[in-house]
Order: sequence, then C-alpha cells, then structure tokens
Amino acid sequence: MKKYRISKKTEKRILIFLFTFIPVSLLVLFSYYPLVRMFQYSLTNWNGITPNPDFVGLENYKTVMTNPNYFTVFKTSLYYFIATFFQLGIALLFATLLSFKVKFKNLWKGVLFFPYLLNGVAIGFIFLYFYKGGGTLDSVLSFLGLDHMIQLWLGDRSINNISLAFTSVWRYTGFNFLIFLGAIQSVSPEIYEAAQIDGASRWDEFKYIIVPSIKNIIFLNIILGISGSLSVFDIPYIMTGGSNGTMTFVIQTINTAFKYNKTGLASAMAVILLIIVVVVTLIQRYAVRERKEG
Amino acid sequence: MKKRSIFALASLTVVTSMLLSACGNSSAPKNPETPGAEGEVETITFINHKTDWETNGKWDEYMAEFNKVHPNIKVEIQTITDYAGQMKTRMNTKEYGDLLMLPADISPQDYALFFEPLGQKEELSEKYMGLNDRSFEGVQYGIPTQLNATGMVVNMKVFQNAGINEFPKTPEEFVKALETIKEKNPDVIPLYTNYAAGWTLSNWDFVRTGVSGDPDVTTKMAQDEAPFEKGDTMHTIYDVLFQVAEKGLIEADPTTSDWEQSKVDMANGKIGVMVLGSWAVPQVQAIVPENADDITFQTFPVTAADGKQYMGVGGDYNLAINVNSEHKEAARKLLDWLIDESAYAVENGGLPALKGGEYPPALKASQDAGVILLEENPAPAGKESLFSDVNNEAELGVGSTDLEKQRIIDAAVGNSNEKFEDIMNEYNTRWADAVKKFSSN
Repeated sequence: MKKYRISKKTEKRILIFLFTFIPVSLLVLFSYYPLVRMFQYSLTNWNGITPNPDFVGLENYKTVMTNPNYFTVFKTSLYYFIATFFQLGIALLFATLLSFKVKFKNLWKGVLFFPYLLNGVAIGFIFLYFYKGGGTLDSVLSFLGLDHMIQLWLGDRSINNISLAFTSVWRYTGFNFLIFLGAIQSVSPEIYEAAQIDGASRWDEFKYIIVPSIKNIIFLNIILGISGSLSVFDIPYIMTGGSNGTMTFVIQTINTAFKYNKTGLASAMAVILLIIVVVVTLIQRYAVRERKEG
Repeated sequence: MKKRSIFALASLTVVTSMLLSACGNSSAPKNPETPGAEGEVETITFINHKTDWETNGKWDEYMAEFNKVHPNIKVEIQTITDYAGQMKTRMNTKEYGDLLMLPADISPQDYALFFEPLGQKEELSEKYMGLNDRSFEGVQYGIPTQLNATGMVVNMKVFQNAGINEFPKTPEEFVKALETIKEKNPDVIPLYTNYAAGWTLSNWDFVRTGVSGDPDVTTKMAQDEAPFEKGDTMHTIYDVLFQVAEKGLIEADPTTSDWEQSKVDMANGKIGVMVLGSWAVPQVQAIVPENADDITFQTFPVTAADGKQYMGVGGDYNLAINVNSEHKEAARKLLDWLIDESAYAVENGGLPALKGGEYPPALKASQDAGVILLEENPAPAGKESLFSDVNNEAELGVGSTDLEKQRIIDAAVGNSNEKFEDIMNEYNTRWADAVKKFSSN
C-alpha cells in the first residue's frame, strides 16, 4: 500500500475544512439562505403558495411601521422583561449558594438546570395542566386550605400574562444559573481565602468579590433577557395561542403568514424584529466594551 | 497532488451520496416487477387529514375494499394532523402525493398550476353537488368528499331534562332555553365554545348561509361596506355569541377548553350545544353508543325573513389530483371510487356529493322538522377570490381564524372593557377599507 505524505500544514487545512464543512453548510442552508429568501419575500405580496407574487417594494414595511396595531403587542413583552429580573435574581442566588460548600452540589445543579433541557412544547403542556381549572395548582391550593385564592390563571386577563411569564422564568432560570455559576467559579479561590482571613462574612464575599467580578455577565444576561422577551413565542403559543391579551409579536407574525396568508407582510415583520434584536445586541456590545476600557 | 487529494475526497463524497440517493430512487420502479401475472401494480400516494382513520384502521379497510375492484393499484395513505399548514409548505415542491385533499387556502386562479382538471363543471354538475368551491372558468379541479351542514350539535336529552322539548327557533328563545338549562341543572354547560382549539369558533361564521337563507350571502358580503350592522346576518350571529358568553352560559374558563374532552362531555350530557358541522355528530355518538340517539343536529336558531328555517350546506375538503403526478389515471380511479362507491361521506356525517345519495341520519331529523338545506351559489365570474381577498386584507378571519371571535368572548366575559357595538363598528371599518381596496383595483 502506498503511503501518502502530507505536510503538517496541509493536513491542518484539510482537517479544518472537513470539520467545518458540515456545520458551515448547515448554517448556510438553514440560516443564511432562508434569511436571504425571507428578505426577498418581504418585498413581495406573496401569499405563501402562488408561484408568481408581485413585487411591491417597501410597501410591506410601510404597512407595519404605520399601523400601531402591529406594535402594541410589544406591551406583552414587558411582562416577560420584568420577569427577567426575577429570573436573574433567583439564578444569581442559587449560583452563589452553590459556589459555597454545599451537600449534594451536583444534584442541586442538575435539578436547577433540568427545566432548560425540556422542550418548550412539553413545558407548555405541563403548565397548561398546571394552571387549568381544577388542575395541579388549584388542587395544591385547596389542599392547603387556600381555596379563596383560586383564580382562572390563564383565563383572567389581569393575571394570565404573569402566569405565562412565570412559566418562562421556570424554564430559563437554569440557563442563567449555569452562566452565573461558571463566572463565579472562575474567580480565584485564593481571593475568598484572603477575604475569610480578613474576617469577611458570606454577604461581604458576595458584595465585594462575586458581584464585581461577574458584572459583565450580569449585564450580558440582562441583554439576553431583553432580546428574549421581544421574541417570546412557544410558551404563549402553546398555552393560549395568543388569545385574551397574550399576543406577542412573533405569534402575530405567524398568524399573518399562515392564517391571513400574507407571507410577504409577515416576512417584513420578521425582518423588522431581526433588526430590533440586532440593534439591542449592538448596544450591548458597545456598552460592554465601554466598561472594559473604562 | 496534495490539492488533488482533497478534490478526490470531495468528489468521492459527492459520488457516494449520489449513489446512495440513486439506490433510494431505483427501489420505486422495481415494485411493478414483483407481482407478475395480473400486470403491473401502480403505487400511488393519497395524502389526507383523516388521522383518526389511520389510527382506527378505517383506511386499511377502505383500501382493501378498493383493491377488490382495482387490484393493480396499491395506495399508500399519508395522514397529516396539521393538514392545511403542512400542505402549504409541501406544495412549494412537486411532491404532494398523487391524490390529495385540496387545501382551503389556494386561490382559484392558481388551481391549474397545482391540480389536474377533472372535467367541465357543467358536465360534472349533472352528477355531483357542491362543485362551486373548486372550479375556475368552467373547469373543475376538485370534487368534495362530502357536503356538510353547519349548525349546532345538540344533546336533546339536556334540553328535555330542563323541560324544553322543541329546539328553539329564534335567538331570544335560544338564549332563554340555555338560561333555563343552567338554572335547572347548574352542573351542565349549556353551550361549549371550544375557544382554545383555534378553529372551532369559525363555525359561527359558516352558519351565515343558513341564518340569512340567502344563497348569495358570501358574494354580497364581499361587496358590502358594512356587513356587521345591526340586523345584518353577521351581527345577529355574533350577538348570540356575545350574549351567551355575557350571561355565563359557556364554559367557566374558555382559555383552557379542550376539544377532545368536549366531545366526551357532550356524549355524557354535560354539554348542551356546540356550534359545529354535521361531521361532528358521528364522532360524538361513537363515544357513548347508548346515548347516540340523544345527539342531534339542528340549525342555528334563527328564522329567516320568509318565515322558514334554512341550514347551509357546503363542500368539505375536495379531492384533487396533483398536476405533477405520474399516476393520474390511477389517482382518478381512487377519486371516483371514494366519491361514487365508498361510504366515506355518510360515515363522516355528511351528504354524499353524488346526487341522489343517502342522507346521513344526523340530518334526517332536521329535514323532518322542515329545515331547508341550502347550498350557496357560486361567486360570479371574476369575483371567485374576492371574498377571501377582502377577508385576508381585513384580518377579520371570517371562517378562517378564531382570534376575532375570541375577542368577542373576551369582551363578553369581562376580560376586556370593549362594548359589543364598538367591536362591530370596528369590524365594519376594517371590512369597508378592504372592500374599497379591492373594488378600486
């Protein structure tokens, strides 16, 4: 058998090419190509089926920007945005606790992270039965003798967005927790030791060591929370279908495309959401850089 | 040399993948060789929405029947739960089966691009009913699997228990009857809206033909700049919905209502009325066969201006043949068999499209009560897609989405502060804008 001799450099190139080929082609095929097509659709009045839509220029963008109905749904995002802070608070609390010496550390980590591993649809159904009249939550309340607190958790417009936002908190806390835990653990243990020798309490450690060293990560999580709350979709879509004041921008986009057959207009809405999220991300980038330099 | 090896590797990958896909393709033409004697066996694909028939083995039974007549056609059945949504995506390719249910969203002018013409409408209409939906410029592209009446599935036992022996004929009587049911038996839900299912409330829109007693109601609505004014058909229908919701005659928490459970509850006498199509009757009856006689189908409780009661009938999904199919003749044989020979329509609670066919028992009752079955007239030439265009533009989702009906219920149960008449006025404005947009074009 003949031996091929390949120089280290070429071998490296081949390897890089082979290893990146599949992920890059998947990325191009499923992210960038559809994005380009979506932008094309947004300039037409395509209804999702007809093979020859008309080109309408920026008409769709004009429709979205001039009709306030399309933007009022961002009000719903506020609930999720506020919930983000509870989510970060809980995540930070547990991350800090678990960075100290605790029994069954890995078990607690697993328990906290588990919800994030569940599929959004499954979570939607779990909580749908949880909130349902006579469902889990109602049973628990009446078991505790708190029958007077039972409400239509999803049916009452004054609380249904809070119920949904709570579901979102339950789902994503584990993710934030993991990021915080990673950041906290990257702080050198010697600093804690030194602080303990100086007689610092746990609270002092948190306030003067942990928070300053993970400031950027906290900020990053807030930004992720903002872009996340702008594009909330699966939980309200599964649980209420956007009815009764729980409509979000993404559900509205889906409805425009698949229920009112205005795929062109819906593509324009999706592009606008993309631009908003990109702008938020750029602000975050800019702000984080400022902090580093400052 | 070195560069070549990369090329070699790349081309090897390409060749292998081509070989693999070639293997996949070659297996299909091999099939006809196997059976020999009787001639070639054709395999066709039939895509439809009847997932329940896939699970309960009905499709297998039907295809066994079909193969007795046409032993050389092997049918592969594919059923899709979200039929309308998924087919839309699939129809952007050429692979959408040989025979399929024609999805509701296709505009008439696009029929010829996707479906094989089935014949001249005039000729076919001597034999079939319900051809108006799926024809364009005199050519027929689909034949309905069945015709459905839209009205109310009623558990008469619930009404009788409350001392009501005859189904009400006017909205006032109807609301009063539901109130009596609620008083006599507080555990019963007089009317279940199925708010959460996302498609059930559209049936409130479909009853418009029967309520108006006018076979041109849809065509007229598409040109009317104020179809939601007091006294108009749509206003009357939505007013009933608002009133029953406002008076607490519907389920306590509409947001978490459950379609499958609602059928069970209705069969067990825990629900009085649901606004649906006649196709739902056999599904409810099948749950508790002993109570099957209690489940009847009634028209929407409105008496038309001429003093008679009407019930709208319209085509269900239409069978159509993929224009890209390579087995059009075999697909046509299956289409003809399903519509002319099989019991599909009756078993699904509808009227057969074939003229002179047997009426399903569910409709016989209301026929005996003197209700006239009314089929809508076709839209005039050039206006075939006007209604759906206006409806999509106004985003009111009349007969297509539930959001606006949900909004009426939300307002009625006090979740929002909107007044019924304000909602109707807004609908009128939105509808008028859309009508104007399309009349100017």
